[in-house]
Amino acid sequence: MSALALVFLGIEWARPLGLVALLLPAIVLWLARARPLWPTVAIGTLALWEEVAPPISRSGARPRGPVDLALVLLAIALAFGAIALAGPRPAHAASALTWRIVVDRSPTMYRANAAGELPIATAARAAERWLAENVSRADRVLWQAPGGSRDERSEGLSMPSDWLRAPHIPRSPPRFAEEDRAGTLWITRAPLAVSPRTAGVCAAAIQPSHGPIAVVGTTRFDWNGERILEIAGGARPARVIATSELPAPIDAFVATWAEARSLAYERGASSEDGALLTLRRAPDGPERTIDTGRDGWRAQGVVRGSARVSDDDGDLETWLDQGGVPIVTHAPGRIEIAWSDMQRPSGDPAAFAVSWAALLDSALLPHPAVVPPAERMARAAERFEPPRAPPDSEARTAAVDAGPKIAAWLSLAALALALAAWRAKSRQSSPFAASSSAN
Amino acid sequence: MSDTVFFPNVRFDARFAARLDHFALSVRAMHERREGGGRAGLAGSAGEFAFHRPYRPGDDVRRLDWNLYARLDQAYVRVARRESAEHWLVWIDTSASMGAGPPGKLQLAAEIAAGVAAVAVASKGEARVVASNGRELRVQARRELPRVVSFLESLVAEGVDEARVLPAHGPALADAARVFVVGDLSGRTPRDVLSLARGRRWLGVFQILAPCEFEPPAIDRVRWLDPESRRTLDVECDPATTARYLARLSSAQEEWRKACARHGAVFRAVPSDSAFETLLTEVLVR
Repeated sequence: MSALALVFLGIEWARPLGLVALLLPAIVLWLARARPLWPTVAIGTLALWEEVAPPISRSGARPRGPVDLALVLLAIALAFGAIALAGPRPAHAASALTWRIVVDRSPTMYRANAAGELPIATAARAAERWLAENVSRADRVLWQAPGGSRDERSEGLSMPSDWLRAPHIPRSPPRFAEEDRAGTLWITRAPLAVSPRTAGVCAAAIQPSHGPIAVVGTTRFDWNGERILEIAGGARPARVIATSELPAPIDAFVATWAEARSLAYERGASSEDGALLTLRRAPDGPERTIDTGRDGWRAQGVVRGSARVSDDDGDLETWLDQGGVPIVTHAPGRIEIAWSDMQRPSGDPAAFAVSWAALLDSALLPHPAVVPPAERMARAAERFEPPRAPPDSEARTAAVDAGPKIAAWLSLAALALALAAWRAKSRQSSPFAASSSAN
Repeated sequence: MSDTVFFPNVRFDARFAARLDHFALSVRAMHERREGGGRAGLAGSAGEFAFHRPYRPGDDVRRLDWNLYARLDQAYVRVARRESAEHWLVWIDTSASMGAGPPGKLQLAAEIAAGVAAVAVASKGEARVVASNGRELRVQARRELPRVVSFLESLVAEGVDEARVLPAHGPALADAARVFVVGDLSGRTPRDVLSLARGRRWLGVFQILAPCEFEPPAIDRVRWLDPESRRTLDVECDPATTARYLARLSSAQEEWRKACARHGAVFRAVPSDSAFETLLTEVLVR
């Protein structure tokens, strides 16, 4: 579909500039009205007429008559021709298709290659080029970046520029298997874990890169292209912080869990920079006593307000609630707790530990410098496959195909009307045939 | 006159020369048949030999061709061209009013002139074609007919008709046996023309009118323009007005007809879409 197409009056016009030709019939009618309809005929017997006919007007003003049939037919013919020139077709041809661009904003997309280019930038450029050439102006292009605690969305032919910066909270890759649909284009990097069947893909090339593959305490493990190097003291311990005072059972367990993970646990930290996990108290609210639990443990305590289910970085998932009131919510990198005071949990102590350890592990961010070995060693060429058109594109194609037929019928009608106009004019001019001023 | 219905020029198509030849021969043949009735026409008994015709009782035996009789054993008389029939003159009005049409009145006038010239030279006579603008051409032989055609095609309906231009051709008129006055007679009176009908001279007056002058078209309104005076008149061609016009035209033509009859002249009023052959045949073969 041409990008110049325009929807007007509920019809799509393939060549909207052709509508300018609609001025022609207007000009023809205007000129026809401007000139007298009465013929001026030379005769040699004017003296006789002067004797017998009372003059209507001897003034120089030229009499004007109504527009005659031939001119009306000609004007209609010109109008039909102009409309045909503009290429009308059913408005369905201009119905907006929705193209979905699913963007992988996982950390791997922000690791620059040897040339300093980010995979997300490379893949997005390829996608934007394809969109510019293949997508109508009327179409809707929806950019989506799932994988975070909140799906990011944007519309337009270009990816939002701030998506070129790595998100504050690292995201997991989209579940591409669930995004394998017509009209969907993936932006990720090669190699693909899942090959699309109907979706398209813009996958940036990836090359082996040296660097950290793990951090344990202060020991860093690097891959140098051939083997893994253990560098003692090569890293600062990753931090887990509590920005406010936590209930004693929780605080004690977090400390134990952090030690087991070789993480540094800081209480009352003022800065979250570099922290792989932040534990915080929910904003103060109405105080009440609750008795709640999960996974085989229960605890009585006092809560102030409720844990938030969203913050500036996105949505938080409720992990524990009481009567529908969130008590503990979490998202990658953060856990929010409504308890201000908690008694020792009842039940099997191990149940409490396992339950909370699972929560802490799921919320713990990966070390920012660490890239899994498989990813470090991966090598894959870039890959581009255009997506199949969205489902309603068939109807649109049919509508576009109907355009030339409509134009042909209009042209035929214009021709017939022009012939009718010519015939009407011929009949009209019969009293003084042989054409005026002919010889 | 860019948007005026006006046809000032003369154009002959490629078949016109053949039409002329055919017309001249057919007129001559008709005359030959009529000569059998003993009536004088284009040819007479004295002067230059013109042709033979079968002898009929009452013919002057002195005109018998005895040599032919001896060879064919049939009696033929010699027919000679009359001296007085040798010079014909056609006067054509080329004023602007002759551009009314279609077809233009000047077109039929030119065709009549060509037809007269063709008949004249076919009868071994000569013809002089005189235009009202002062130009003229004399032809004496059939081979000169293309010159006549070219001359006539060069005429353009323009200017004003000078009512007294005919008498100015007095010397040319002196020996003309037949004079054809061809025009729309606009602005002329019978007196202007009939002075030409003197002695034994034959005078034909042909009023050519455009079809729209003869029978105004059934249109609501029209602006009539006199191309000579440039006067205009916006007219509603309703039946009553048209009837008054036709009655006035008929009255004027009747005046011409009566005046011509009094002077022994022939008057014919024809529309410009007429065939010159029909008109000339009717007046030449009488």
